[in-house]
Amino acid sequence: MVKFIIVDDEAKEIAHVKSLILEVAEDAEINSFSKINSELKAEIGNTDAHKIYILDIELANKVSGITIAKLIREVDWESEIIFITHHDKMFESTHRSVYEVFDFIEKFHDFDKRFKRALKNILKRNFDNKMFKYSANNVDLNIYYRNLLYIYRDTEERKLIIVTPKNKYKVSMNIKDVFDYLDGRFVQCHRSCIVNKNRVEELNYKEGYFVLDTGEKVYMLSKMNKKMMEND
Amino acid sequence: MIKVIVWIITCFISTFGVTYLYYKLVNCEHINFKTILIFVLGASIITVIKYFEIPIISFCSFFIFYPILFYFMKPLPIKQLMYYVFVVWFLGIVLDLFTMLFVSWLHKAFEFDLLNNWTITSIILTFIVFFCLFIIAHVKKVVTFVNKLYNRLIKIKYSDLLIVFLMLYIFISAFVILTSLPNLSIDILLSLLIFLIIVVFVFLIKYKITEEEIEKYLKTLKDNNDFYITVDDENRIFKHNLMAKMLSIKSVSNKKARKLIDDFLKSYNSNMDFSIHIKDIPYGLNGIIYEKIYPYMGQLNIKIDNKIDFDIFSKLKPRRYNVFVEKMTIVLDNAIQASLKSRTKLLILNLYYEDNQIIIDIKNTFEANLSLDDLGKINYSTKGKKRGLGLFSALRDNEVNLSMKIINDLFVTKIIAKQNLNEEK
Repeated sequence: MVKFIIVDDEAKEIAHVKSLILEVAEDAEINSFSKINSELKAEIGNTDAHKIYILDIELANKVSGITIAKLIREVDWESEIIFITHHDKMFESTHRSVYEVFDFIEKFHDFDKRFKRALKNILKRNFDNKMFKYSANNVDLNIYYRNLLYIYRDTEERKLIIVTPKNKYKVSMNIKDVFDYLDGRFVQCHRSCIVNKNRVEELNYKEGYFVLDTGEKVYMLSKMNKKMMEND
Repeated sequence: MIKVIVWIITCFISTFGVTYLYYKLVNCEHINFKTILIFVLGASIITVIKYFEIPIISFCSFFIFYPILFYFMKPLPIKQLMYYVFVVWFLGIVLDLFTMLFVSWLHKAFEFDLLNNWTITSIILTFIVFFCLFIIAHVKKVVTFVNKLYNRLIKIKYSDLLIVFLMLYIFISAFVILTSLPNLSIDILLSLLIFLIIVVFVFLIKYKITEEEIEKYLKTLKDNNDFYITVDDENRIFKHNLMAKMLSIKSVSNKKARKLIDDFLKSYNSNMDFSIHIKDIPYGLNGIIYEKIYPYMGQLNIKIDNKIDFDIFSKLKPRRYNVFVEKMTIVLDNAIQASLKSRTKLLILNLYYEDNQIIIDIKNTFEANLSLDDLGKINYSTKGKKRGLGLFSALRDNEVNLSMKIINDLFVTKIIAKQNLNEEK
């Protein structure tokens, strides 16, 4: 059973959103709030269950939906957030990346259809928000598994390189140990490389490379690991 | 045997009196089992010391036992704790003195033979002192005065205090030399005096240099601040007028010219978004923030959200304020440089106050090959070799807390300065 948290200052809107949720998920548990209060804070603080937060950006109270999202992300990166907004595209692009917002849905623009589609997508991907977590001396690294492309061993520096669509992170670990930090979607495709199977689009054992959904071609595919790669 | 019982009773009563006075002075909220245990143990030790009449240990025991007991009752900073120990000790001494005088007066005036009856005398004296301490503890004016006095005392500058001590020493030495010259070795006194003067002046000079540096730093900060606020205002007026003129030209232009003007207006709109006007960001910080981001306004997507509406300088100790500003400058520099190299070029600043802490939260996008285990080490930087000194020094100073996280390719740095609560009282 999925838990939904609605934060909206209009009772009519809450009722409408509730009815839409029940259309998509009949057994949904729904809690609603009109503003930030101790109960909502406690709800945010309880990270035992995965939740879907539906936040109105413009609340009558001083604390906006953005601030509530900030509070959620202080403790919980696994729950999903959907914003209901009047705001423009510029606003959307900024906060989408900062708070990992699933969607921004405009109130008066095809709302019902877009909202239900967003809910279905969230339920379909089944809260794929697990994170790779690594603590170095001065910095903590937290990346969603889904954003992690592959990990390989740099033979010169003798470090592991974690590759994401935008960055590369070097960590002092070996291939065997890094498996403790990963889940089943990561498979060893070469003696010095682990890949996120869900991000692979093409495998070429003959030439020894794989192609990722980002378009990157990586020459680290071994026939020896074919079985592991093809096992689901 | 009676003597021992009397000692135990008197020691427990006087210890309870002293403890109760402290309890009221600092407004303790709760007493736990550990506190009671320390109280019983301490009072027993004092009983033994007093019973065997060891004067030096008896004097020291007050300053050893009570700070421990008081600390367990309410953990205060060491300076504050010692102040209260001294106040309680001083009040106890004064009360002892007056009680002794009172008993002596009774003895002389009415020829009561109290002083010869040791047991009764000590019990009476202890009870008188205990009741006085109990009454004092309930006089609100005394409690307020003691607390206010502490707030005043901590504001006294270190250099002023040293000068006062030096003057006191000179005065006392001069008095002692004048009154008992033949019995004293002047050489010892003089060498002590010279040593004290050297120590005091070394500290004084060091203190003065630091103080002047802080003053210069704050003056530069203030000048920058004023300058950037003026520039910001002028910039807004200029931009507003220019936009108005462009729109008036647009209204009489042909299609091609309109397209050009639209394109110009679009590119001219800065990517800067303040939750409020820059001058409303805490004084001092706004100048630095503006100075740092001004050259990149057109290139970066900047969001600034400020929830602090007071002067942060008044909430932090000067040194903490300086470290806070220094760390913010280092982090902001790094964040801007890293963000410029990324595709999204996002820079977000959140300033807020939470749980008696002033917090600056800086988030930026970045694209780099980052060695996580080397980040923050001396000479490690993505900018090149022999760089990275800023972050290294920022992490070294613990006056202000700095934490770094990478969350989904977003670099998040939190700078936290604890408020100086002593100043607030």
